[in-house]
Amino acid sequence: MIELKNLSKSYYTDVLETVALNDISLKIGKGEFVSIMGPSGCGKSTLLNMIGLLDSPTRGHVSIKGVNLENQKENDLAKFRNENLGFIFQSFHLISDLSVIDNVELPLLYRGESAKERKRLSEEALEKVGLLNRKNHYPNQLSGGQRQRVAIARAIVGKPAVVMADEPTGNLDSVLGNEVMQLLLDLNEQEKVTVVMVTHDESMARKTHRVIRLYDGSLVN
Amino acid sequence: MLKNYFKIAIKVLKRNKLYTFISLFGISFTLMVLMLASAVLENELGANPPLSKRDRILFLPSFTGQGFEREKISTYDTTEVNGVMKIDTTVTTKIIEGKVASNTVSSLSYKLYKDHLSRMKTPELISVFIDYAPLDVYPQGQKLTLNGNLTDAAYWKIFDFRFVEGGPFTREAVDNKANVIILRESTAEKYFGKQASYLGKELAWGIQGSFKVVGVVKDAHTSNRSVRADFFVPISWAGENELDYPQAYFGSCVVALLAKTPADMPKMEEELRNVENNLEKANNFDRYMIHEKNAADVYAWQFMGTQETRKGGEFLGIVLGVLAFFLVIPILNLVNLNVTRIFERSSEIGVRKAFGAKTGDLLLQFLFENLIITFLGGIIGVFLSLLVMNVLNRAEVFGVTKLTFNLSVLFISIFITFVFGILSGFLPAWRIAKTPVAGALKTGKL
Ligand SMILES: Nc1ncnc2c1ncn2[C@@H]1O[C@H](COP(=O)(O)OP(=O)(O)O)[C@@H](O)[C@H]1O
Ligand SMILES: [Mg+2]
Repeated sequence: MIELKNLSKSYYTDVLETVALNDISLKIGKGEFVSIMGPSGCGKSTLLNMIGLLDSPTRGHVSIKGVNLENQKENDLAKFRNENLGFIFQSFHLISDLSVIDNVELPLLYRGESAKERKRLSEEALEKVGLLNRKNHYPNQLSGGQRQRVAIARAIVGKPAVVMADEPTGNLDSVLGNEVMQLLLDLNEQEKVTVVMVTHDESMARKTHRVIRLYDGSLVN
Repeated sequence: MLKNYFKIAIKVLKRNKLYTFISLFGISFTLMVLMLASAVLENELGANPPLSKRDRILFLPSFTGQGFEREKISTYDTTEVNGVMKIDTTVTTKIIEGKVASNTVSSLSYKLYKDHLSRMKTPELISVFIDYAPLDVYPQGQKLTLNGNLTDAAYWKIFDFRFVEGGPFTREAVDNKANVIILRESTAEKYFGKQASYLGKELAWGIQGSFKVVGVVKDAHTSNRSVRADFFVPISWAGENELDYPQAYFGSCVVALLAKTPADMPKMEEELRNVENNLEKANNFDRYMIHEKNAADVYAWQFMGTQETRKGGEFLGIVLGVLAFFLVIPILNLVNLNVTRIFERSSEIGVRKAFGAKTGDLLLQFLFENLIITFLGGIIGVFLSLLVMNVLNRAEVFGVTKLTFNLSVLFISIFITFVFGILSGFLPAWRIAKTPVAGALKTGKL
């Protein structure tokens, strides 16, 4: 499903080069639920951004569903993300000026779905995360756990093959965190969605199929 | 899609009330300044009656006579007469060409018009008149100071006054020194009180007698001396000593020339140079100059330059420059505001990109938001302009000049603000759209 080959990423500032990822090669199979762990600053988010096509690698190859993606144009990548990938961020990143349902339908908007279809699919996604009754609320009227569930609805509304989650429970207490984790597990089990999740929490990681450990930009095995 | 953009645009405007207020104020204020400035310029420099043919009209309001320095040269000759030496002295005066010793500037004489200017070939029409002669009249025992033009018949063909009633006086009326008068609408009202018609009414002018109103013209909203008179009578009423001063070609007349086409103007000026050169050099005048001005030059003359200079183009350049300078400040402000606002939303942009927004989608969204705010600002700007124009007109800040709302200026102004809105919205949106999503998501907080 996802394949990285000899992938490296460096950030350059005026004076120094930070090697965030160093020669990473890995494969993630279809329907797998993988967690990425490692100390802060070891490159977990960077790795997820590479897999999620949110940033381009300095060297190496990324392919998803057999499509080579490292040299594609930004607009083609946008289209690919739109059709195949869903994202969940630690700090939710909901658009505060839009209502819950308008936030959820965002991926469909860029797919050119009709308003009616957008509404149907968004309501369906909200139903899955148990927030259909809040569809006309605004993000700042919701609790943290509810916001993250809205973000999950947004990530799955377009029925992507892969969902990326960067510390989705990092800003939540353990009860709410477990709720969110359960949603991701259900998603993986019931809909066979591939999930790649960055987490700090060993107990969460243990519930996934495989743990990838990073240390200082390199894989640890 | 657009509905979605509209929703978010309205939300953003409502959320950032201060930003919205400053933007709207900036746009509407900028628009208002543009509207007012262009209204003043249009009034003074636009092709409106009675100066609709302004691009073909040359005014000759002044005339210069120069005398050059003279040098007396004595030559001595010795001759022998009957064996006695005799010295012969011959004194000659040499004119030092170009070295100006005396300079006299005045209006033109009737003689100059009659003998030279009226014979010009290039102009389609030539008019002679005395502009802005003051006159005190006493309707109902109250003193009223009026300014009048004494004109010929051609005057009415060059300047297309709008007649409310009646019409211009004829050649015969001018030749026969008829007791006829044309009044400006507001003057007629002042003199006679408001009436349905003023035709045939009589106006008393001191010892000259009583003048019959043959026409009433709409007030000319311009400061041009040649047309802004309160009343008009035939030029034959001017005294001999007013038309021609004893010296050379000086008098108190103005001549207006109407070219056949705007392209003929340079030819007309060339012919004027010919006329100058062929004038009879008398009274120690060695060089004559006729100073022609177009309507813009005449207008600029109030503010800069002299009788001899033509500053219309330069004046317009300065006005536009100053205007541009004053507009640059609010526009930069707007750009700055727009830039910060969009950078504040980099997280939103990042999210949209992550979920599949293409660069074009994002640019369209910000364009749409700018469109809405420009449109709102435009509407407020229109009301603001109308309000301020009304106040200025009532207070007669620009004297007789009345500011009127100009639709094409409105569209141009809205277009300008829109362009700046787009630029200021586009540049940062473009930059963010070009940065990797990961970076955009990192900088912004929601
Ligand atoms: N945009 C960036 N510019 C410069 N350095 C960065 C940037 N993003 C991340 N880094 C650096 O790369 C390394 C990995 O960062 P990150 O992937 O965010 O770590 P993690 O998510 O594991 O905490 C860190 O040393 C971080 O400082
Ligand atoms: Mg991280």
